Amino acid sequence: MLAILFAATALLQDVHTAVAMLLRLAALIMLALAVTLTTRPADLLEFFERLTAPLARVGVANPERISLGVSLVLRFVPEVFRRFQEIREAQAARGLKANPVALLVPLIVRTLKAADDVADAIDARCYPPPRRPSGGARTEENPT
Amino acid sequence: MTAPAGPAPGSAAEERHHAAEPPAPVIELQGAAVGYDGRTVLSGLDLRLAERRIGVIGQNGSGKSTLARLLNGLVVPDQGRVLVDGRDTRTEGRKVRSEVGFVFQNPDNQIVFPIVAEDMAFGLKNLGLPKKEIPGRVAEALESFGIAHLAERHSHLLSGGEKQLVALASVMVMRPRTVVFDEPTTLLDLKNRNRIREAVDAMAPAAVVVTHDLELVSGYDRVLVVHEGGIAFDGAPGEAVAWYREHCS
Repeated sequence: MLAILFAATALLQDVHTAVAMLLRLAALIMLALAVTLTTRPADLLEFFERLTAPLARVGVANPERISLGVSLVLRFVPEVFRRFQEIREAQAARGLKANPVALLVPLIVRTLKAADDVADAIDARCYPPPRRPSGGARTEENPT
Repeated sequence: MTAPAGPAPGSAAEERHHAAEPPAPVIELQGAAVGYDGRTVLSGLDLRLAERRIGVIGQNGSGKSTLARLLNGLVVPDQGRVLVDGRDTRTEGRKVRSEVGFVFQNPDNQIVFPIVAEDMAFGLKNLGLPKKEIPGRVAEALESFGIAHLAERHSHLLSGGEKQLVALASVMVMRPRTVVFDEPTTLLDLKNRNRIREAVDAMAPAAVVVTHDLELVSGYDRVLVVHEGGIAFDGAPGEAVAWYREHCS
């Protein structure tokens, strides 16, 4: 992916800009890796909840939803990668060479189907949680 | 076609009846019908489910999974209604789901959080349990399924059997009165199938198990055969399986 971005930037602009962009992206990726390898997901989610708590007080955002969203992103990354590999292997087994469109279409369809199933699983476990006493009333059937 | 339902004398099912267990909630389907894309999946079901172990068998596409989803309000009927201890799944779905847990066929789609203990805690947070009580409840549930060592593991790195046990534990930690299973052993090898079978047999809540595994339902109180969107047979396990083999193989 980085190589494609580098080549595209070098072609459309110049090599110096492409090198600068590549170094910036690499630094960001390293930083993200350092955070995810040294921080428990639970701590990361609690951080996001605290960070967005002031927004909840003014009614702009719901920290629990943001936290769940971040958690789902973390959860789906390895799974999307696994699905990508499964599709690639299935296509290679039938003699298909690497083809971005042939890979992406089934990957998107399968990921959306899985997202649908995960949404059912979230519903089945009574999401969303009842609002804390300080947060005001929330009815059972319309908790948001 | 129906036959009288009830546990055979001396069976494991009868032993469960005598044990001091909380009564299973009564689930009633009253003329419940469901359709997708203009196709009728289930038509006019009238059922009263109150036994502790109920099996649901039937061919692929017969409507078993839709029936399972009706029982805890994940699917609401297009016609008729489904009541759990008198609560309508259409209007009190959240309350119904806190009483009726659901274990999906594919645990990959059931486990929401990346770390096992966090996933277990998710349901408890949704029930509004105080934060300080959650770790204890999670540890207790993991211990009871013999998977305490998995607490801090990444869920996507577990084996299929471990994932299904985590999925079951994450439902059981919420202490539902009934658990609905949608083909819980389909993706498992023999060893893990037996682990899940033992876990289902040993658990206190009532269970409705949708399955293709005919051995799994052998000791149950009642077995329903779903065929072409209706209940084709409702009775004791031996007779239900015999009917299924005769008419659906």
